[in-house]
Amino acid sequence: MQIRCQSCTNHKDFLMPLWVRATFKINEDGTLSILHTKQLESIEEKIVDQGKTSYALTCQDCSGDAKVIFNEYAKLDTQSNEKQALEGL
Amino acid sequence: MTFLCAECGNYTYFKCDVQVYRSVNPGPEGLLIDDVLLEDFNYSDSNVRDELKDNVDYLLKQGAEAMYFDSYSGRYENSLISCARCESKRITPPYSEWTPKKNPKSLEQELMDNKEEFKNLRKEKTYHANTLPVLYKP
Repeated sequence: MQIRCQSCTNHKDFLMPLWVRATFKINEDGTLSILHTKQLESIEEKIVDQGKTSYALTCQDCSGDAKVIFNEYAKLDTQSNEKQALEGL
Repeated sequence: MTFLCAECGNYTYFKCDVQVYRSVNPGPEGLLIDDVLLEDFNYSDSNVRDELKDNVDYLLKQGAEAMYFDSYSGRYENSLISCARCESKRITPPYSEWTPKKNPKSLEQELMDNKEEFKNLRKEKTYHANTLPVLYKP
């Protein structure tokens, strides 16, 4: 699996926004203390959904949309199959 | 007391949905999900705290105006913060918090007191109208 930025050459650092539900306490002096955070979204689902209905995953360097390639060897397989077919002919 | 739950009277523990940014790094072992660490601070941590504070401050500022009428429950609810004890969304700042502000002097008096300072400021101000127009030279 590979992730690539469509705008620059970055393929390492990406950002993903996720909704979390924070349980917090209001202290006597008015400050806030966070007691617990519960994740409301699945990272896996958002990554799988990337490029289909949403572009949540963005490049950390340029904020461009990222492209997720699940099987980077698929193209190689197709090329080798075509090569073998031509050789067979 | 900052907020009060109209259902159970809770004024301490609340819940709020906020957005947090996570770092996604693809590696040979798979995806590494971690906090976003910038040069000198943790962006994920500060993002949660800032957004939570923004929501609390907004609700404090808006007061009852932040409530909307929910036709399903037939009650006025708030869309940002809910009670951590009873899950109710009927959270508002207590109305007793509001008091008319007592200013030491009236606005007119304050303007009169600062009249000289404002005159000096007007002298320092540069007006574009005072500069002569320059003919365009191609």
